[in-house]
Amino acid sequence: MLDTTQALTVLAEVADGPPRALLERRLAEIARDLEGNAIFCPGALPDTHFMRFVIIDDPHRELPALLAWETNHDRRTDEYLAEVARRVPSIERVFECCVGYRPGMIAQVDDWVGWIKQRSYPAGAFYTSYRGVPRNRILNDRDVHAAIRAVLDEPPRLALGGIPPAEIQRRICEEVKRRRPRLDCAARLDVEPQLRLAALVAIALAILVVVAAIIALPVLVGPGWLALPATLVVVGVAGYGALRRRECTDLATAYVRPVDVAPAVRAAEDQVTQNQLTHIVDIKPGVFRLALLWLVLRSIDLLARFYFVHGALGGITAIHFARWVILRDTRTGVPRRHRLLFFSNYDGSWESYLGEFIDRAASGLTAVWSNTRGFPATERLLGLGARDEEAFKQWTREHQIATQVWWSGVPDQTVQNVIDDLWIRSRLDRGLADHELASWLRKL
Amino acid sequence: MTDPAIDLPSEADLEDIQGIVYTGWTDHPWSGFLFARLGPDPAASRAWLDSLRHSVTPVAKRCRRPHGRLQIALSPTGFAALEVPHDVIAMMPTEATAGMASRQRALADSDPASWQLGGPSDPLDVLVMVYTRSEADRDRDVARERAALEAAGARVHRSELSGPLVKTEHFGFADGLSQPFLSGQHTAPRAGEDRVATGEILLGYRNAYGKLPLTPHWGDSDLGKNGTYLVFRKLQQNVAAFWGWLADQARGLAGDDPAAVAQLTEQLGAKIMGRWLSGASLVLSPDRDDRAFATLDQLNAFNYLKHDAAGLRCPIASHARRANPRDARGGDEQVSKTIVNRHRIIRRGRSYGVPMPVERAITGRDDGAERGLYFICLQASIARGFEFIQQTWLANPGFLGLHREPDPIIGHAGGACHITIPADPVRIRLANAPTVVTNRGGGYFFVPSLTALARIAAGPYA
Repeated sequence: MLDTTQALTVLAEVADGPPRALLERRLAEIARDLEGNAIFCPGALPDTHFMRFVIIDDPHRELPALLAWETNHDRRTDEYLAEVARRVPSIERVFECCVGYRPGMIAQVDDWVGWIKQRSYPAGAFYTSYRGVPRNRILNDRDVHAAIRAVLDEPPRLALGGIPPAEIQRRICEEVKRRRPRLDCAARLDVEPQLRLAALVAIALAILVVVAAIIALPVLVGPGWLALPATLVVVGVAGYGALRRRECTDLATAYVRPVDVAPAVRAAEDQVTQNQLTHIVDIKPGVFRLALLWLVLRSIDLLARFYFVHGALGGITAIHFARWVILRDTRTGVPRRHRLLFFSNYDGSWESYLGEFIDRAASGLTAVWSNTRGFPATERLLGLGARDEEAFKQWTREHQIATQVWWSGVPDQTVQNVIDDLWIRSRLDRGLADHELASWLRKL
Repeated sequence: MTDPAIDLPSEADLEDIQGIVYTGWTDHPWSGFLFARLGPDPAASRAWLDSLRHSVTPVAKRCRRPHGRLQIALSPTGFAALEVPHDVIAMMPTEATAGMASRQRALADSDPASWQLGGPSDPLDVLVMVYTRSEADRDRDVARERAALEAAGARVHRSELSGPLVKTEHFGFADGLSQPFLSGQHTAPRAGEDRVATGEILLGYRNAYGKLPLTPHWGDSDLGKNGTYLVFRKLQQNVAAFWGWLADQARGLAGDDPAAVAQLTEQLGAKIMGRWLSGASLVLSPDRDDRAFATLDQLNAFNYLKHDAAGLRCPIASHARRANPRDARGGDEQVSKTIVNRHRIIRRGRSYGVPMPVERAITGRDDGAERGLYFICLQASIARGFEFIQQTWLANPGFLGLHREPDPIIGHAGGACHITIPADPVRIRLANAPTVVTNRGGGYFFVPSLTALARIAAGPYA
């Protein structure tokens, strides 16, 4: 897989009482000084874009409290975890507070990686705006852009009057290389636009093969040839009927007053450039909703992987990394409560993020969250739902929880900044056609 | 002409809605703003409200007195002081009940502890707004309202006085030019004026999503209907710092020729504000301040995407373009306009303090006098209106791909920032822009309908 950006979600049970209290204290101390605390500094993690620790409590007190560790990292997960164990063994002091953790385990790298992986959950859907761009590349390109700005702004300023554009570009490049010889200014592209096209072709081919198989297989096997397509039609119609029936009877929460936002949530939000959201809600009971949700998430994951490769999830341009994770309830003898966990690392304010959701991606979000409790009433899976602006925002608030530790490895950079920096660096040391050169100069 | 998706207030509604929603009372050039903390006796406060409400001016022309206009706004703490039950107040949006001082980080504001109005230990319960035709009338009316409040036990702040009304704010630019068009009174919007859903400004009407927003209900009576949320901010302007810094920048770029420096100073000012001094659009008139584009029909007759996507005429970082990105918010033209029109506010600001002439200001020497703008805006949702515009478009240093560039006029409370002015072959980037606007305080209020004022004045035992 070309894909180098990975989503790791680890969920470990936290024991009540002293371990829980200790965990809270430690997370608070880490959050107080992310770069200089005595417990664990996320900045020491290798190749990490964003990470968070969240304590997930069950408001009904039926399910155990969980510690969630989210990272968005480069490289394969095994390699990454081994590197974490070697370079930041102090991360153990967080996991020490979890059930089944043996202090000192991190010294045996394989044991530790095994313990973590046992508790890691696959993302139902994972999205990033710059898939496959490693963090060190993002930082390099940010510095290249900064160097270009410095060349243009700081004395001695380049005299540019009357010089042809291509010459301006050449001089900038030369000057950046002279001033910052250690930066990588190579003209390689990291996200190939062709990849997207190739992926689409691949998906189309796969669909063709399946359709051909459905048609051809029965012909080959004889008179029962109608069975498969007929089954599919029957399943489809029955599924649609079941969905419509549920949509008419499912309860949407009616809000007559705004939801109280927990002070810890308020205190952490409205940071200047980047913000985070942690959201957890029960999936509607029954196998039907669970299966439908799984299907929707897999479809979104596929689209995110191959189609929305470059900076816009259904038109939203502000998400660095986001994921949905289904938490299966494995208890027996009681009605099961599966939950849907959502992490997002985004640009701008909560209000603008939710606004973008509604304005640009209402169908996709409705398809996902309509399978969870209390969501605003929907129509045919994609309709209504999130478009009920106020109800959707209140519902989101109701299920949003506080994030104890959150760290960004690319602070101050918006998604657009990351993508622009990449674009600018990849065209710094390369001959460009006139119109592209003009846009390049305008972007600096 | 009428859009079925837009609810129209009836004649009766126009007699119920306070006039400020539809007019800035520009025919009353003098104004005064009284902020007060109500006294400990709710019955006395209600008696004050009950007598005052008869003087409140509604929209309907036939209900107005020949001269003198009075408007009243209450904050959630004011509702509480008048004994509106807490569970009714709790139906108001959280940002309104939390108050402006609690939103410092979101708004990139100055430290509320230093505010003259509405700081953390200075809750403001009521705002009484007085508009008159003459200064003497203003002083008389303000004194009368102050006395009435004090007689009811209220603690009244120093009067905030404004006037006479001029068309420009203190930096010298024509102000309040781009307003959304609210259906109900005038027949048709002017060129480039966007008709917004009535519910974007007034409660009780469908908003841009076709929904009725949450509203505080007190038993059977809807206190929100025909009301609107009001944001008041006392924005101090440092006019000498603004023009002095621009003149410095112009000297750095244009050299020693005084005429060239003067021209470039004005041009840089326009690039940063996003309009020429006259109000003419940079998109329509990129090179000079052409007053032919400053007429009512031309002021808003422009968009950005088609002629100025890259901001070569009107910089993306400029104040006016950020405050209303029109069709260039991202996505195609129509998508952008739809989204932008979900974040519109009606502005009713007035200036305070003695103006400083631009010729004096470009010397950079301040005269020590305090001057600025009483920023006043109206919307059905402060979170989606004022706060969104302030936070997501103005103060946001990453607005539409910018990098560490908050709004050059009002987007940063401290620290120097950069401003990128797109140009060919490469942009000009001005560094170390000073803070030229400082918020000295204010608050979030609700402007109730006349019916709601009567209900509140009747008290909990009515």
